[in-house]
Amino acid sequence: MVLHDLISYEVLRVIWWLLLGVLLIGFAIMDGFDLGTTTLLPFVAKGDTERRIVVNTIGPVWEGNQVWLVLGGGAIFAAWPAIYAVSFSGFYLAMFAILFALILRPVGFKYRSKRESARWRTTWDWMLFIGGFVPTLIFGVALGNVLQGVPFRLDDDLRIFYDGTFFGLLNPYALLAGLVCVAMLVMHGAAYLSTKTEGPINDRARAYGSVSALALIVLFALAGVWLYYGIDGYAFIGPVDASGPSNPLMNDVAREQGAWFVNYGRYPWMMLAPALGFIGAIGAFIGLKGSKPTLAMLSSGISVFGVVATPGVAMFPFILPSSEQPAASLTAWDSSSSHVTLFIMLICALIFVPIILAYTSWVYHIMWGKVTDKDINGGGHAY
Amino acid sequence: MTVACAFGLAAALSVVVLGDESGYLTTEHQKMKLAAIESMWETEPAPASFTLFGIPDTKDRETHYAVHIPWVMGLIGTRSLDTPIEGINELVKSGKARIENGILAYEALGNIRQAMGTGTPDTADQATFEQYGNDLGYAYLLKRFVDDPSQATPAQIDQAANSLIPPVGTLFWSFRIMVGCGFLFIAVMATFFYLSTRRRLDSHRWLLHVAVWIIPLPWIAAEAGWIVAELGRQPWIIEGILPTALAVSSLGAGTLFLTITGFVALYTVLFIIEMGLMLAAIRKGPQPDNGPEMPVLGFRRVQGTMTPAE
Repeated sequence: MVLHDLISYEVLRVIWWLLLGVLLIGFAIMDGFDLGTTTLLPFVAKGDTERRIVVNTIGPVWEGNQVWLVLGGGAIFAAWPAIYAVSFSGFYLAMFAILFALILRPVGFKYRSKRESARWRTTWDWMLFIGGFVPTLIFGVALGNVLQGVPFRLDDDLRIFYDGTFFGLLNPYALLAGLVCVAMLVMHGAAYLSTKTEGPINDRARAYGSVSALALIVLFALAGVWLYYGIDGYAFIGPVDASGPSNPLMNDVAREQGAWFVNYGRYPWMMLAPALGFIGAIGAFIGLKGSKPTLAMLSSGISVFGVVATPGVAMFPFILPSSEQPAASLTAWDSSSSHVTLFIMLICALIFVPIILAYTSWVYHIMWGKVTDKDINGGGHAY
Repeated sequence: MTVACAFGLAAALSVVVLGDESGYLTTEHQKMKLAAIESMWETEPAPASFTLFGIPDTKDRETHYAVHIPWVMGLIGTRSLDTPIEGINELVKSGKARIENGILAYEALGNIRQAMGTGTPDTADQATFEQYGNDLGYAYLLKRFVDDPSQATPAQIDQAANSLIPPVGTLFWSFRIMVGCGFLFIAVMATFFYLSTRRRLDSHRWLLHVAVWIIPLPWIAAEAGWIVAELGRQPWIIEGILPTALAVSSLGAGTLFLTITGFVALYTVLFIIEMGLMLAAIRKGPQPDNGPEMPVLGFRRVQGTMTPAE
């Protein structure tokens, strides 16, 4: 096989680093609004019909949106195996909590309307709330921990040892990152509801959403300031071999104050990421306050893009730094799979991602418009 | 119903084709798994016979009361009449040789690593590693018995070689349960397919009982197949390269116990809820079908049945 030499190992690594970002941002934007919507469910909708309207705004699309999570997990597994291994065993209990909560979602959607009893339905509403709120919080907490470095080490055979605990993940900075994530997706879910509903649900969603947009602006800024002054970033001091073998032990890495902000000085265009995070949130606030659903939804999506991209570009080339053994930190240069694997996967991605985008657009085209009382109680196949 | 039976029959038949293909690949890549499934201790002259039944004895390394069908195993496993299939004892012997070679590669790798810190590695070490590097994984089998494989005693090397044998009895029986279920599905699906095309599905009450009672069997067959696949590959997670004992994460037993308990509890609760909902749906019964019956395949077309609904 010589074909893979068409693209150098270094370029392929950068492409897969970008694709990892695209998949995670795709997940945050697409599945983000249904996580936010179920988080809002018990608060924006009163009475069974209203609740069913909210459930049915995401009923036909949430499963397709979760493809981004599956794809993101799959891409980490195949393109960044070392990162998959460290994060899935290291964050084991956190992953378990996420899975546990996500399992409640499909059954919540499908079982909720199977019985008339009010207690039955209210119980499932709260299960759906857990299925939206808990993963959102934990995703943010995980990112907060990644920025601080994760307590793992590698032995000479590259076997992984994780020395942290589940409760160690719940430190103050990580919880702040978790709240950023919750505020962001509640804003995003509210923006979605403002496009898909009418009347009192729409009003309540816009009220919750505009508060969340303001909270996001404050918390996101706070997280940045805290990161600069309170948390040491990571920096390469050893030789960087961008096309070298994937052996994380061959680096020298130092911890320095402000190291996570060096990239913004080196590549000023990267400042676009946090800028979009703020501008989008302001746009979402204006759109929600002024009842302009299209503006709210678009801005909110842009804000999610910016907020998730911000730590991603700030850390480049680091992906998963180690607080216990900084030299073992996993970066884009030393934790990918082989040159040939990355090339073959790129071909697959070029074929399948457009297919996913095509069917997703088609579904949204079919489902366009508001969900109303008539859709719910007029028979048919509503949840 | 005819459509369902046709799909059932086609699926049951394709499982045989897929199974045959994966058996053939196993001969190529996982010889020990194949020998253990067959409880074949000694290499037989080609073409090997298939053991239909027997009681594997792991202590004396033989199979009691074995019923053999001549030639069949050789044909399935190698698709030839003259390629022998290696038995367990022979595989252990060749495994032991590879462990000994692996130790040489392990020592050479250690020397090269040390030298990397100070300067250039010794060419002799590099040559040794080039020669025996393919057997490095076998040296790591020793890690279960000794911290430093280069210090292994002959007894530990024997121990590691014997650890190449997966649990023969379990594999032997899991495989036969899986294959037995597979052939049963073909028989059942073919029978129902025939009865359904003849519109005689309800003519044998006992067969309908059979159909209900075998509902768990596909699941049991899948689990048995899973045991064959995963237990059969032990002690390797990647055959010949990475032993399972070295590939596991460093998570403690308590953590694993917590999550398995959590999942079992969650799925048990969901299972109970699901059963409650399903029983309620069954009690309600099927939607009445008032349309006229379609004619039996290949006979005259009854007027009125083919008009499309408005």
